Amino acid sequence: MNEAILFCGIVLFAIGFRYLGSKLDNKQFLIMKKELNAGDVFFKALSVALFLLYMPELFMRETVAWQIGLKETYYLNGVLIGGAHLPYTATATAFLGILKWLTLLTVAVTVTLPFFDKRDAKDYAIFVAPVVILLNVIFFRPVATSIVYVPGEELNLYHWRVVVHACIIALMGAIVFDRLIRFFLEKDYKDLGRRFGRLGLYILLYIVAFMPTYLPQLLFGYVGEEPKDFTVTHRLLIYFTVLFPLLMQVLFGKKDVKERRYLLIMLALSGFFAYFGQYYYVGKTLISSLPLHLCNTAIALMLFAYVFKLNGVFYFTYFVNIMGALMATLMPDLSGEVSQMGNVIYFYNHIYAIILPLMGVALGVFPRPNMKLMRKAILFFAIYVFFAATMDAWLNNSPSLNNITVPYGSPYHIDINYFFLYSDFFIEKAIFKWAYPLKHNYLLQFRLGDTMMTYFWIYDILVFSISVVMMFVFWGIYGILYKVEDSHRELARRKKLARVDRLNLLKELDGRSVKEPLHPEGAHMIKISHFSKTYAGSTKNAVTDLNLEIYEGEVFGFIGHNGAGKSTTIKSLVGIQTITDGTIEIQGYDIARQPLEAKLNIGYVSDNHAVYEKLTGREYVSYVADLYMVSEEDKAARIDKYATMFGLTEAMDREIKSYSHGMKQKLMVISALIHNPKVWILDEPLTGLDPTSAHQIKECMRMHADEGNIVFFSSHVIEVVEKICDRVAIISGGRLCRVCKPEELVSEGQSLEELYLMYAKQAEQANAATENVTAAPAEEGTENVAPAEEEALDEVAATTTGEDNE
Amino acid sequence: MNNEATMKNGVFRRLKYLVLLQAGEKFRGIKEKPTKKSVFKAFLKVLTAVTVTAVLYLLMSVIRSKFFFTFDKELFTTVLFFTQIISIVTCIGSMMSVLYNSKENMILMAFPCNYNEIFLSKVIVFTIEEMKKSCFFVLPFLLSYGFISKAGGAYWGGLIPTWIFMTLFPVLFSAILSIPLIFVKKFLENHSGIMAGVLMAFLAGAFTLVIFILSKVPTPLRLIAFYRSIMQALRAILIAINRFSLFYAFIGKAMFGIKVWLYLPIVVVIFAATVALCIFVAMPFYFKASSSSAEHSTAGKHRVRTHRHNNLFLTFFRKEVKLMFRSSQNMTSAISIILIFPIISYIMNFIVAAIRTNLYGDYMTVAFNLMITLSLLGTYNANCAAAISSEGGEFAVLKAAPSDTKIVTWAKLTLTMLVNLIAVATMCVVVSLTTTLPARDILFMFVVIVFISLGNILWSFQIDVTNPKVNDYAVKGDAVVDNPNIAKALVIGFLISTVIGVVTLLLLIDGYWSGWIRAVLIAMAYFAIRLYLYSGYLKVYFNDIQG
Repeated sequence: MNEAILFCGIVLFAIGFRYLGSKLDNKQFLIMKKELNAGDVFFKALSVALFLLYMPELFMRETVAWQIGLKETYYLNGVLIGGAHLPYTATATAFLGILKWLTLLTVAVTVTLPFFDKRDAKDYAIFVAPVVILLNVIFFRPVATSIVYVPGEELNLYHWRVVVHACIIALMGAIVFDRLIRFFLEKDYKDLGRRFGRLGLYILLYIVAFMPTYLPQLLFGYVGEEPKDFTVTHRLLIYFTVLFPLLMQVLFGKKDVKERRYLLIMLALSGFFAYFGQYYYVGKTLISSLPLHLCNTAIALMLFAYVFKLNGVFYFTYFVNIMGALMATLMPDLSGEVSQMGNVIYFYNHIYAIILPLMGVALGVFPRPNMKLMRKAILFFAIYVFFAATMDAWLNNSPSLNNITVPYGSPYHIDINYFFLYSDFFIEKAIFKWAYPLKHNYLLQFRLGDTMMTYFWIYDILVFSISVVMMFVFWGIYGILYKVEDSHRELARRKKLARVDRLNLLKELDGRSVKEPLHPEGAHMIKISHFSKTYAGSTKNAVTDLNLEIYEGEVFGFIGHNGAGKSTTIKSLVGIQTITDGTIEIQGYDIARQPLEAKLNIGYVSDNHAVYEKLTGREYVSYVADLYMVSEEDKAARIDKYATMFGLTEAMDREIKSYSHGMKQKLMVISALIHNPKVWILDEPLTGLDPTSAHQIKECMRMHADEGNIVFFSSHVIEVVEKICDRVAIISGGRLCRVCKPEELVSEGQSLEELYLMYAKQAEQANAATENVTAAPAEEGTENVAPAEEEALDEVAATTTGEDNE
Repeated sequence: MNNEATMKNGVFRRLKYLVLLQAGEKFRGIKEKPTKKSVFKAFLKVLTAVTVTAVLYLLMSVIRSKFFFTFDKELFTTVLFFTQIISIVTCIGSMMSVLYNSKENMILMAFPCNYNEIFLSKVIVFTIEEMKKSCFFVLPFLLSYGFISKAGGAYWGGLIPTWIFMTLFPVLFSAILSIPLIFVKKFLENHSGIMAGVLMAFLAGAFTLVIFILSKVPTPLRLIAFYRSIMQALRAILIAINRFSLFYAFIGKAMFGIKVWLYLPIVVVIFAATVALCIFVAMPFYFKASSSSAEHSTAGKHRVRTHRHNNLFLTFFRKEVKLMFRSSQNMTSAISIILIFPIISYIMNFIVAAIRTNLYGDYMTVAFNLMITLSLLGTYNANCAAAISSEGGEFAVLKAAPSDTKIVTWAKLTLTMLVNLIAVATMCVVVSLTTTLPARDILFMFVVIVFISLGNILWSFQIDVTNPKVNDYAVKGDAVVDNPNIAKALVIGFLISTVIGVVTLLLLIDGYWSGWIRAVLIAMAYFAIRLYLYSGYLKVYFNDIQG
């Protein structure tokens, strides 16, 4: 009968609120200049009311939490240690336990529902929550029994805690009913199969988090290995503590920030429910048994920090709580079986105190800390330490609170020990024994009412200072982890980029092998299109939009003042440097995307004459020949030919360190020609050579071009360029100024030297003008990969591969 | 008179510019306005020094309380003596590179300044670098020793001069010693047969000495039973060292307030004599030693068969082998790691075998072997953090070559890995001969060490690929002594070896077979992860390295 009345009451309650909500919906009103939907506000207010109403139930231990095992009697190692309190069969009690578990999750989902537009949560409210509420109504009497039952006494259905529970069910019903009505009105039936799948994953994730801490001992009794030292259980818990944030990072790292915040709030809420849910206030007074230890406070603070986005609070937990919780998790030193509620609470508390702050930054809900945030954290920590020391000083010495007369001058009555400031917990350890006299010789005492407030002030300051140093140490460790994370992100980004490049290349090749030229029509030339190069750390282009085509049979000169961009172009041409923009093709091969194929066609003489000095000349040339896969016969013939031509026969078997500058230059020429390249590129090849050697190299260049190859070289010796080049390009200030044949200039009545000087002067003036312009500061906040870039990359990858990246 | 004054002023001005030129960016921050970042960095450095001091103090406290050790002037002198020897040995190598093998010498010597000024500027820059480093060990040591020994006013008054002295003396001493050594080195470089002979003789001598010393150690070495006699022997050794290291004993006595009026002047005089020796003996030789060139030298003639390798990997590998065999530095470090291994392994196992008394004796032996072997290998493998960078200017040849970067780098890595394998195999043979460890333990150890050390090699290489210093090596050649990548690889190698040693010990205590299987799996997983990351980083970063 009572259940029927209750059911009707809840239904009426829910319909009434739903009606009220629908009336208010779409009615706008202003709060602090913010336009709000009255319906939304109404349901948010309902959820806040639900949360507040749930607090008494949460903070008071239920009868069910005392029960050990489902049987009437429970023996451990032959000793009777407990038994059933609830007057039900084992199956019924187990069912009750599981129903209460689901109810806890449903409370959390309904509390957060009006604040987040989250599909999975809405589906939970539509498909699961009504069932849970209905079961709560149907089994209202057993549920009420599990809350307030006292063995031997009649269940009072009008006990205030039972009434509160009924109100909780009613409020949940109102919120859920609203969602259900909307579901039908909006005909939100799309994609139900997929939604059920996601709902399953959603429940799987949160059901573990919201497990009532008494449930293991209720269902299984005292089982599991004692979590003392490094037992298997303890190790598994440590692995979980490490792996869970990583797993969440993988699963949620790329989700929307709201989604990530929702995850963290739900986890914070589960920690809050799990920890405070069955917290046992055993102290002599309520105030002396408050959970004000560092890790206890973290559980409440994390929820506030995530809900209200409180920086100071969050970074306090991020730097301070993790330290303490980490130590507690590594060295729990607990007694009793792992399923005991005290142990479950202990692990929930400390594991949450580690993973929640870590995940806050890892998932980007809070930014990586800086000095300002660190200062806030230290300030908050200072307040906490002062508060803890004051509570210790007061509670331990207050005669009225302790209900014992403490004689003045005898301040030791260790009972309350927030942040371990009052007991000798730290200084008992060998490593901190030196601080013992510091603690006990320096007291600050004054009378406040009937209490002799006693502070160990030097010791308190010392503990605070060491903790602050440790905060910085932790920051250093975080810094290392951030670097690791950044480097892996960057690696992943670059890999994706490389994959996109490769796929684009394959697409452009249109079924041809990558060993074939990308553009067969360019197989007889070097083609530079819109080439630009910017060096890392510079905002200025070294080369800008350079376009050039060089054909077979040509000796092509490339001249320009110092810093004009000659070497930059050449280094990009041969694949030593990356290309910022544009393309370079060698014999139809793209040097950036088909580097191996392109390089096989190039012979390169660098401007720095760097060769392996410990090798002999012959070894070096042989080594280069092997790289270019030259046959044994060709190699021997060419070494002989060029060694004789350049007069190096005698020196070929000596280590290169004994060579003169000119000899090294000649050796580089030999090694560049050893594979008879189609394209021979030389960077200032005549610098420092005697006239004979210079002549030999010039002859060699001419001969090579006459054989139908391309010779491309840079030089400052204008006479030489004028004399041996078929065409000349002048580059100045990173821009190509002119490409011409030397004879064209003659017909124009202009010398190459005059032209060169004119462009050099122009570049000098332009440079001076640029230096006067203040460079725009780099944009801030570019430390990580820009999401837009990442998204663009995904899009390209998806377009190219036809895959759905998601 | 005027000219002389100008010249004198000029000396200091030139010296200042030479120092600033070489120190480059290291001094850039001094003139700039302090920013939040620079202040924070400075704060972190101070914090590090304070932390080191605290750790040393705690360590000393533990030693004092557990072993009843007295921290007095004898011990102070002994620690001073040994740290100075280590400093001198490490300084000599770096000093020789900086003074004589630096490519920047060619630029500096062309400047209108005296060669002596270049020499002095190099010594100054080197000293400043050493001072910076010593802030994180020498200074914390002096401070913590002062605290633990409850030193008096003389100690605290002499602390800063002693710190400066302890940093400067090895620099000056190694500058002096580097003169004869550079000539010896050059001679040995050109006569590799003699070098090999000298090295072998040195190692044989060291091995004989070790065996002689160890033969004097009683076995079983019952530390607790022999505690009194061991402490007496240690005290006798300390006194003997004090007697032998007169100079450091003077410093010790002065610091602890014994006849300060006598010992302080003696210390000052000896120090002044060292400075004078450096200026008047080492400096005049500097130009000759640093300006010698191998150009036109007929040494280093090799006849080679120019047969072609179809396999590009072999082409690169052969080149790497040749370069290693022809570089005395690389050759020495490879031979050292292979030959010193058995000696160290022998000493360590002898001591561990002599003192182990508990149930976990074998496991401890295994853990120590793992830790020491991996640490030693780490010092060698850290050089891989400069594998690409040390190509310097020659990197252009690699980059312009039409070959897969993987092949190029694997050729480099293979050589280091081979040296590692030989060294570990040698160590395992020594362990099997000198300990009672069962063969299966040694086999498991071999597998764990090989995988971890290969993983470390790949990690070191990855550090170089992601943050190459090609230009530094192109400019300075082998004289790059402060490559941060190598330092980073060293730290990582040391940390990994410690972690692996401890973890293996815990796993073995947990269960013998399961422990070994898990240790091997951890090592293999570590190698697999490093290999995966190395391949990834190489693939996407190599192209960015610009010569």
